[in-house]
Amino acid sequence: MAPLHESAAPRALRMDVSRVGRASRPSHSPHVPAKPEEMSWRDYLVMLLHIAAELEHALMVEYLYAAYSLGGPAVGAHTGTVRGWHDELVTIAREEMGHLLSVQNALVLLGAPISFERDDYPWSGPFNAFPFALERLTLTSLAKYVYSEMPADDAISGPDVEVARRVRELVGQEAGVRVGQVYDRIIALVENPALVPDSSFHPESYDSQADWDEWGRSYRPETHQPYTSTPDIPPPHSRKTTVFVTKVATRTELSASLRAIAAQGEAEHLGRKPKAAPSHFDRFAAMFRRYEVLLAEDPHWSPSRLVPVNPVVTSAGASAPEGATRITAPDSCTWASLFNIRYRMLLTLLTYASTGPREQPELAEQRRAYVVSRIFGEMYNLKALAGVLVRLPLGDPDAPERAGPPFQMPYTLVLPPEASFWRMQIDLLDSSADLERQLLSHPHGLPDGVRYLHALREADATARTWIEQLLAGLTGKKTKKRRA
Amino acid sequence: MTIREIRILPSLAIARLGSADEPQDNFTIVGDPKRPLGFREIVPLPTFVVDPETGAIASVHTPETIVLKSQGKIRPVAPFIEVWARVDDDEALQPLTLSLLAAHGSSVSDLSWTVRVANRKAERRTGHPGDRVEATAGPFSDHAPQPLAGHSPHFLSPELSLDFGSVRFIKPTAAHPEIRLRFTPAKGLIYGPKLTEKEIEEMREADPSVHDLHVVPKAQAIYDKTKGWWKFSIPPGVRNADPHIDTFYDETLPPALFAIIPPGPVWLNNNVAVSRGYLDDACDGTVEVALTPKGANRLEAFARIVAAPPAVVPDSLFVRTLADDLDQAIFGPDVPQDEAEEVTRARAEDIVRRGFETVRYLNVSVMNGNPVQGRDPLDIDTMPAEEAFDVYRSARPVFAPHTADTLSILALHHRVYSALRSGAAPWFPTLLRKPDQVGDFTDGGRRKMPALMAGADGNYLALTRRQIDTITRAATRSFELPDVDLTVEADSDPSRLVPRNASAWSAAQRASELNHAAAGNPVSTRAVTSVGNCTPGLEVDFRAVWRRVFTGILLREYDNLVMAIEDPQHADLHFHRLLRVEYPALGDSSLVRGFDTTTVQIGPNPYDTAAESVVLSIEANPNGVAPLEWSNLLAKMLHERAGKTVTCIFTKDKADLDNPAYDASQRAHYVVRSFVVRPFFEGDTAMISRELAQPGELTQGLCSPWQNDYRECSCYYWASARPDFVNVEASASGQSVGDNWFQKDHDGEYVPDDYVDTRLVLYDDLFNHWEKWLRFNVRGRDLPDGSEQ
Repeated sequence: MAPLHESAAPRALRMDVSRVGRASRPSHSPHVPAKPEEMSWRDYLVMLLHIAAELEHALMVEYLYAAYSLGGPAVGAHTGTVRGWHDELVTIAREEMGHLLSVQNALVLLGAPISFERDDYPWSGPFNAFPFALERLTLTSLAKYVYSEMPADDAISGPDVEVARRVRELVGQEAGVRVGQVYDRIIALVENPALVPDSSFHPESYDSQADWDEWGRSYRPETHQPYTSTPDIPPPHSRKTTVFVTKVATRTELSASLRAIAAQGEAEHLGRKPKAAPSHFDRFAAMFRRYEVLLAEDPHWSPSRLVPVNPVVTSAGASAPEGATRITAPDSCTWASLFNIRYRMLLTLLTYASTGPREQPELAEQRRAYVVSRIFGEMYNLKALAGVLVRLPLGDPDAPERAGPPFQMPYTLVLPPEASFWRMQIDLLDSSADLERQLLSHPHGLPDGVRYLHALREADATARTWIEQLLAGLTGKKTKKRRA
Repeated sequence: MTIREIRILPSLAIARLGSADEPQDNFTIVGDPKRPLGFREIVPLPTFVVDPETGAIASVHTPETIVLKSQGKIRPVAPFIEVWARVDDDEALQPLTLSLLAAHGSSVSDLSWTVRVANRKAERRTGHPGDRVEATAGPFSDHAPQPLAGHSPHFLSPELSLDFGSVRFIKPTAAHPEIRLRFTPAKGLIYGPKLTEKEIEEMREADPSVHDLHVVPKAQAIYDKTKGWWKFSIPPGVRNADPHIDTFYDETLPPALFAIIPPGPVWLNNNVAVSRGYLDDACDGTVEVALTPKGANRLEAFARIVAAPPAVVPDSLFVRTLADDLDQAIFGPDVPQDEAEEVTRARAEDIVRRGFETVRYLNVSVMNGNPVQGRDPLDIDTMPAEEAFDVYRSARPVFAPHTADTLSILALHHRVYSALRSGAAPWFPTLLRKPDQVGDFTDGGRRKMPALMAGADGNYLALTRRQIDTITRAATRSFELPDVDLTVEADSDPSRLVPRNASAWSAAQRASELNHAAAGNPVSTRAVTSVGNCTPGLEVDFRAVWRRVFTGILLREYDNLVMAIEDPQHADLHFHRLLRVEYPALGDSSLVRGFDTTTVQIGPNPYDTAAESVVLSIEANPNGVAPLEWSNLLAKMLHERAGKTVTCIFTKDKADLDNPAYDASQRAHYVVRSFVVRPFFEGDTAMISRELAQPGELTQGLCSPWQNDYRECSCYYWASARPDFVNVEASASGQSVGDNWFQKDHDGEYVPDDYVDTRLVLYDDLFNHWEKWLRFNVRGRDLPDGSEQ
């Protein structure tokens, strides 16, 4: 039997979604483009889920970038507030990661390929509220987040009405489709058996779907104490990330999963349970209100460092794509390249965890612990590297502009066969080691960075040994004798 | 010049048993900044060689390598303790030396030492004071070895004694003029009753599978078998709260921590535990030094000593050590607001580092409660199995089974630690188990950190409140990071890691005295190498130190039962339970701060395991009540109310056979009374108050003999002190492979621990040859032939 889901196709081969509706994108009343005639409804649903996955991925890195940008000397006396925003942004990004995995599960249930792909910037499409952009947190970038996660007008009430008005003022006419509108369309299709028949669903895929126990990392509210009713919404300082990673076997479960995702983001009207925690829109709107108050007190106040819009590392002499900012300080370039390598490791491992080796499930099971640990480990590496990059210069070391994590996508996420996949991982470790050596060869700069590199190098050496053992098993070659 | 005060440093010194003639050479352990994830390096240090004839330091040498075992015998760790002095109005302590004594108009002969040690393990079980074994040396002023000969009224004759080792006033010389004493512990022998051949044969026949039954050598068969410890037993199946039991037994926690007549262990054999009457030569006690110059006031100082098993993994530190608990007693549970951020951050990193040093020695897959080679996880000794037995529920793996693997989880810990080193603030405070969540057996509760291990209350392990607050505070530090070196070593000067403000200086001084690295002392003499989650413990049962914290009553080491009355006005409280403590909040006496002494064990509700929970009630514990460990429970109160009164709320009636929880609606019916909180330390010294614990009491809860503990307590208590998984490497399948430290043949095939598998080290193997089977492990590997590093 053919696998129920395969790794994502290279972007070059993907359907040109711009053909679906870029031309039809209205500026004042944006809507999700209609199904092209040549597509079946199931096809269209799969495409929309791919779009949703891409949106979740994009939002996640945008929020992370904004979170990493926070801090710096301009924060002044508002450290507590800004730290709270940092935590809120990271929390929402984690939840977007849960959305991303849950959407993959939806694709798996439909027997469709999964996708962790995302286009690099500058990038726009008919399903985006705004062109994808990594930006430091400003009132304007925050307004985009508020807009992206905004519910329909009739679901906005109270002080949020004014927030919505101000946000529209700031983002102007460029705003496109909100995330909630994409989910509205997806859910409508999923819940319509006439368009998407029962035969489209593959409940036997349940076991191979991403599982909260693996990916949730305890990010959900505490278990209720016995004999207590549903607790009130906890105050922000004690609120925990609520990561949904929902496995689905039926149309009903898929519908519930998608509604929960949408409700956590913005579309509260889609939620089936009483609202248990503020949506992403609620949280962004609260940040927006506070930001405006602080700006009223000091129009020059900024919560973030001067990190660039869409930072990129390019080959020597090459210019940055339009809309991107080239990192030019040599050390910063090296750190940024290191970031990109680790990001690639993360995405390839994530894709591997979702797809292979499917022909030998027992192998997948045996490697699962390591792969999952590595994925989370690479997330921690990205956090660490981003923290270093935002403290390094963008170009001129004496200028206030800082670098930032580039989040540049690898050229492909199509994975080679099993042994080659692990050889590729060794290649990536070697590339990483080269960059680490470069940075350690002249250890001026951040002492923290040096301390981190020593640890990274050691952890990678262990990772390399692990992979070599695995490859020896795959290729039948003997490795060193066990213990003297 | 006037010596106005003397102190003994360190205030607590741990000796370690061994039968080799030569004591352990001096060493410390340090991390390599360029290999921060690696094992700590064992670094030899200058070692004193004491002339056996004169008692003076004859030479000093730094060995090239550290020899932990010689010719099959473990080298005992014999700590020095030093006398320091304050002179005139100088606050700084300085070593007391010959010249300082002379300047003071005194001489060595004006100094005298008195050492008192005891082993009260048998007494703790039988409740009979006659089972106490005590030894006193001194007062003495000469430099001859002073034997610590332990006597007991229950020995066959007053002439017979149990050898606790010896102490010696090291003769100061011009080259080594400091005043110091050395404690050389015993050999690790087992003593017991004098039995007839028939009685020995009956023991042998009780379980024919025991082929090598330990027989106490004649010279050590000194206990009078008619006195109660031989064949001591508690009726099987006793749970004090069992509604069918109407007689109170003062069991230990865990129960039956002593060598039993085979078959063992007790829980695989219908809970029948009949004592072999074994005594060991571990002990704890006090050292007193007095300086009585002619015509001047007598000055005196005190310290505590402990004799404990060897540290078998000398290059790793446990995630919660005795030093962490003592640190909390000194500084309180909260990190001061004004503590320098780099100090907090360094401590947070250190905790995470010790976290992965602990994980290394856990077979995570097995300890997670996964089936092993198809066997029922209940058959294997793990914390999830322990939990299942405790609450009469099915055993469940803690984490998703296929995600649990040692090297994988270790790698994840490495990445977390690496990220912290980059300056990233900790992002996982919410994942840490809080001390009042230790009875939360829902999936969310069990997956908190530290995971898969037991705490001092037998529930899942929590860090100390101070450790938790350290990580929490490090997570909320400012965005701008200082550029500083952040390395915490086992031997770091504690003053480097304490608040800098003046008000905290005395606490810093206390920490410095407690953790003082006396010249010649290996790092294994210090509390940082002793486990902190005492259930009952390896070096000390730290739970015992809290029993007299409320002046006038004596509590049980592991729960809230009033065991004895020390002030007659509280006689009516005998066998009542302390349910709650309240006191005015610091800084606002109109507010009342309070805490219950118990928690409720909860588990997942089957219809919604993620969101809902149920009380894990059983017939003998219908309210699912579980006592909380004293160290964390009392930390804040101790810090804020030492020497002051607090309000204690007790059950109205005796509750020795009951296990109630505090119920606010019943408050009017409770006994409410004020008690003074005893200070933890004496004066401004770092001497743990003698009013809190007398000689022998800090070790009385430990196994008798201590060898039992290595058989009965698996690594989920102290993974890096009593390892489980050694010689670990990645396999071609992607999973970790290695040996169970406790399997006899280290062949790379892990043997799951079921207590009785003959491939494992069993009770009598330990009683007969413990120095053979407690194999040293360095860099995660067996030392070649277990002998040298």
